[in-house]
Amino acid sequence: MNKRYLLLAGIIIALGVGILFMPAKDTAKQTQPELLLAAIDDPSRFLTTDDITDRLVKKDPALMLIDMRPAAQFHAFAIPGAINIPVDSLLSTSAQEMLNQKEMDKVFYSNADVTSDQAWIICKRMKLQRIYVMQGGVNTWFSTIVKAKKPAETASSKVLALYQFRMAACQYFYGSPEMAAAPKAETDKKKVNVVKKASGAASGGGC
Amino acid sequence: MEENNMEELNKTNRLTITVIIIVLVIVTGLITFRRPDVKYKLSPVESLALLNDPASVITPEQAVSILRDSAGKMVFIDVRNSIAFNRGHIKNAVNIPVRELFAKNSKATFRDIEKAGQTAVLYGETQQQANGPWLMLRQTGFKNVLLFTGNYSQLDITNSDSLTRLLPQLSETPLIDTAALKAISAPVAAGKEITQPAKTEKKVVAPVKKTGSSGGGC
Repeated sequence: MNKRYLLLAGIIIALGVGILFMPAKDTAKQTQPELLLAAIDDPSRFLTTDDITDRLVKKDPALMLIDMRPAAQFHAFAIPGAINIPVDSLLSTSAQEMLNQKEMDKVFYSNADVTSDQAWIICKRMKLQRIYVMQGGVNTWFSTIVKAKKPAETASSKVLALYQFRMAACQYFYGSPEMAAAPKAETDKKKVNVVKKASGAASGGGC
Repeated sequence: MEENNMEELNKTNRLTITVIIIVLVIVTGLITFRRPDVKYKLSPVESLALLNDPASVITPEQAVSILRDSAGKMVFIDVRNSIAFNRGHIKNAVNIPVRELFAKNSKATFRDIEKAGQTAVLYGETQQQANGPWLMLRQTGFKNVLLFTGNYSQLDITNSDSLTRLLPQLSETPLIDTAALKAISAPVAAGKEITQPAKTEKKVVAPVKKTGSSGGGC
């Protein structure tokens, strides 16, 4: 028996034993801090309320809206179709199971986008896939979709089209406004415009 | 006979070469092995608990009073990019853009702050921008890092109304009241008083599917 064979075998066995006692690496389970920081710096996780609205109206089956607010706020008002996972219970088994559905786009939202973004960071660290944050949260949803502001009549067609879209979406979600009140308000507004010949200052919501 | 000898010699040489190669591989592996510089010190559960900790954030009111009186104890860290920083920043702030948070210099800065017994306050254009860096620092073991819960514009103490310059939709305060939703014809008053939502008790998740809203329409 050659001595070198023994040496080789010895090295290999030593390495094998070394691997046996290696500490379990957590890279498989967690995103490394540097990578997570790069992900935080990347704004592509943010989806606008208009994007979400568009997908809701189109009944996108892959869209899953997650409401991160406390249950009381969720029951008071929530975006249609949303699921409530209060941020405190984010790491519970049932919530994690819910978030682990790989074929769904999970969109987090809270009142603004701070809490939802924090939840996103923790979920990203835990390597959850296809997670997003709704930019501006419910507050922005409310001010852009539910209470869409009428743009000036001189606004570009793009802006006007966006307004039309928001109005239509609002009607789609919450039903059409009272027939009596709406046209009246419309004519009133027009009169004011004619007299003033103003470029139509945003005269408060109402559709 | 001679051939046999040659074969034996070749075998021995090959074996030597193999041993040398294996040893080389191990040695280079050990030399280039680098422990990751930044490691998580908090588990996800601990990080989550951090989000409800009022002691790790600093409100605009607190920040302004600190800026006026005891600026020495707090070091303000500006996480915006260098262009925004150069355009204007609060006095004595240190610029550490988000992507450079774990760079050598940045970590040294945070360690120096810790050694000097000071506290770092992270601020960005909005709270949202400083949020990620703050959570990353806390998760990787920097304890004396606070998150400023307002916008950069609110830190301008030369302007007396800086505190009122809160962009409401950027804070986590709910601005929707269902009454307004029901009586939707009346526009939401702009300067409406905002009440802090009562902290609700911890709840085991019970995902509820919301079907349709309580009507109202816009």
